[in-house]
Amino acid sequence: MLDQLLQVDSLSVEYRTGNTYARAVQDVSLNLKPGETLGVVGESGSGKSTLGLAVMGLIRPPGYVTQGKIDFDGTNLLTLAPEQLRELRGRKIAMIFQDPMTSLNPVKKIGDHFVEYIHAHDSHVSEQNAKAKAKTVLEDLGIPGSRLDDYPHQFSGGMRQRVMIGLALALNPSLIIADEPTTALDVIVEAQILQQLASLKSKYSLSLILITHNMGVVAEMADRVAVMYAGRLAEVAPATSIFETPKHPYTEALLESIPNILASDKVLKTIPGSPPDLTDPPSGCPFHPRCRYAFERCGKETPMPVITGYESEAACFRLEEERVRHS
Amino acid sequence: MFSRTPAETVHAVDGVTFNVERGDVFGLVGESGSGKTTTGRVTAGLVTPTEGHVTFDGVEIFSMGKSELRKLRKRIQLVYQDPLSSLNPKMTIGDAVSEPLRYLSDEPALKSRDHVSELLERVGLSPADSFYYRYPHQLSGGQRQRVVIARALSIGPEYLVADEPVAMVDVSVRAQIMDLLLTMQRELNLTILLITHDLAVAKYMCNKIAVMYLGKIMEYAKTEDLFRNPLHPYTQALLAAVPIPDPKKRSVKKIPSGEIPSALNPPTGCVFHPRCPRVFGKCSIEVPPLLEHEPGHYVACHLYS
Repeated sequence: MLDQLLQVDSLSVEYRTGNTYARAVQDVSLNLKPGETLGVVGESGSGKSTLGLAVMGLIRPPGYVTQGKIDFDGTNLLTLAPEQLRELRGRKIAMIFQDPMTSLNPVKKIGDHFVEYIHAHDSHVSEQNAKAKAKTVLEDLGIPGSRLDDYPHQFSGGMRQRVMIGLALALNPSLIIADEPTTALDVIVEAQILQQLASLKSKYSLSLILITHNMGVVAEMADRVAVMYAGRLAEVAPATSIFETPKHPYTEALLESIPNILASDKVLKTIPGSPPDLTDPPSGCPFHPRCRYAFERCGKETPMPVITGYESEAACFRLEEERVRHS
Repeated sequence: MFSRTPAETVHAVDGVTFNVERGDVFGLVGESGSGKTTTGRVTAGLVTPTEGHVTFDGVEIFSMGKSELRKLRKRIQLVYQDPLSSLNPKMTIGDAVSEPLRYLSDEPALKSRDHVSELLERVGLSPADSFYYRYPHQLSGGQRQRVVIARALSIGPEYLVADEPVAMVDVSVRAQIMDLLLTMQRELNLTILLITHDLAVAKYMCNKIAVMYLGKIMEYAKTEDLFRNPLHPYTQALLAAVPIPDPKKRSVKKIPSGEIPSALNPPTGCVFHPRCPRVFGKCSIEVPPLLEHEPGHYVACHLYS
C-alpha cells in the first residue's frame, strides 16, 4: 500500500473569460493518507471547491489546469484520457455536493438513481443487484429500503443528502470529496449527517476530503486541516495544531473572529477588509492587505510554504524570518 | 391538467408571546420552518396575524390608520440576509441610502447629501465620497451589507428587524458586520430583533433569546441563562448539535433523530414530542403553556409544569 493515497503537487487552475482570468487555485500542494479526513477550509473564492473539482477531473472550460500533478494511488490523473478518468470517477473517487435537490432528478425514483449510477460504470450489473446494493447503502444511512420507490420530493432535505452520500458510496470508492455537504441543512440534521459520515468512513474504509467554510465542522471531523485563502494554501497542519497554535496570520485572525457557544464572553476581533477579487489579486502574499503583521516584503514577494512542525506547513514570511533569527 | 385542491392553512406562527424592551438585542433562534422570519415580519407590521396583537411603544399596530402606519414605517426598518437582492443594481449607493428619506421624510434638511455621507462613514464605508456614486456590483458582500444597514438607519428608526444579517457574508467579514450592528445599537439607542439560525451569532449579539420550533416559542430567557441552564429538551438538542471550533471538545453527541415536521400537519400536543428524548404520556395530548420557571426564564415543556 502506498504511503499517500493522493498527492497534489503545485496545482494551478485558472478561469478565463474574455481578457480577464481568475487564478482560482495557485501552486497548491497537498497530500492525503489512506483513511485520513482532510478538512479544506476557506471562504468563498478561496479555491477550495475548484481544488475538489480538479481532483475529480471536473475542471471544464472556461476553467483550465495550468500546472501541477494530481497523483492518485500512483497515477497522475491529469494525464489520463477522458474515458480512463470516467472509469475512475465514482469507482475510486466520488463527490458529494452542497445542494442535493439540484443533484437528484425530480422525475426519477430514488432506486432508479442508483441503478443508473451503477450501470454507468458497469453495465453488467443486473437491476436487481443494483437495487440490492442501494438498499444496503441506504439502510446504513438510516433510510428504510422500502423508500427506494419514492421520488426525491418525498424526502426531506436531510434524507436527500443521505441519498447523495449513498450514491457516492454505491461503487465502494476509496476517496470521497464532500463539498459543503451540510451547509444547506439545519444544525441538528447537520450533526446527524456528520456523525453518519464519520461512522461510514470507517465501515467503508474511506478517505475523506471535507470542503467547508465552517471552522466548527472541520474541528469536529478532520484529522488534518488545510486553510486556503485567495487560491493559495495558507497553512496545513493536524487539526489540534491548527486550532491551538495557528501559524498563519489568516488562520489566527479567522479563529479570533468566529463566535463559539462554549467560550464565555469571548470578544471577537474583526479582520479588516474583505477577501480579494481573484481577477485582480494583491501583489505578494494575498493576505497582506488585511494582515496585522504585514511588513514590506509581504507586498512584494509571494511566500512559499515552510515546514512548521509535524505534518505542518505554512506560507508566511514571518515564519521564515523567525527561523532565520533562531538559526 | 392541474386540479384545484382546497387551500390548506399553514400556521407558520402559533400563539407566540414575547416582549422586546427598548434597547434589547432580542434573538429569535430556530431552524428553517420554525416561524422566526414570519414572527419578525409580524412585529414590523408587514404580515397581519390572523389572531393576536402586536403593540409597538404602547400602540396596537394592526388597528392603526394609514397616516399612523406611515409614521410607524419611519420607526421600524428591516435588514435582510442577501444584500445583493435587497439593493437595486441600477441605483447608486448614495441613492439607495437616501431612498427611505425621499419616501418617508418630511424634513428636507435630512435629504441632504451630507446626511447620507455621514451615514456611509458611520457604517464604515469611508471615504463616503468614493462610495456615493458606485453601484452594488462594484462592492464586496460585506460592503453591500453595510449599505443595507446604512439605508435602514437613514430614516432614524428606533426598531430594527435584522433577518440573518450575516448568513451570506464571508466568514472573515462576519465579525465586522456583527460589531457594526452592535455599535449602531449602542450609539443610536436602537432596539434590534435579530433573527438567526446560528446560536453562536445569537449568543454574541443578543441579551435575550427566544428559541422557536414549528411556529412556537419553546423557551425564552436572558442569553446567559439560556446557555448556562437550557431547560427545554429542544434547546438542549440544538446546543448539543452546534459544531464547536475546538477539536479537543470533540465528543459523541446525543442528537435527536428525524427532522422538523411540516407546518401543514403539525404534531398534536407539544410540537416537539415525536423527536423528544424525554417524551411522556401528556406530551402528545396537551400543548404545554409557556411558563416562567425562574425569574425571566420561560419554558413551554411539561417537564416543568
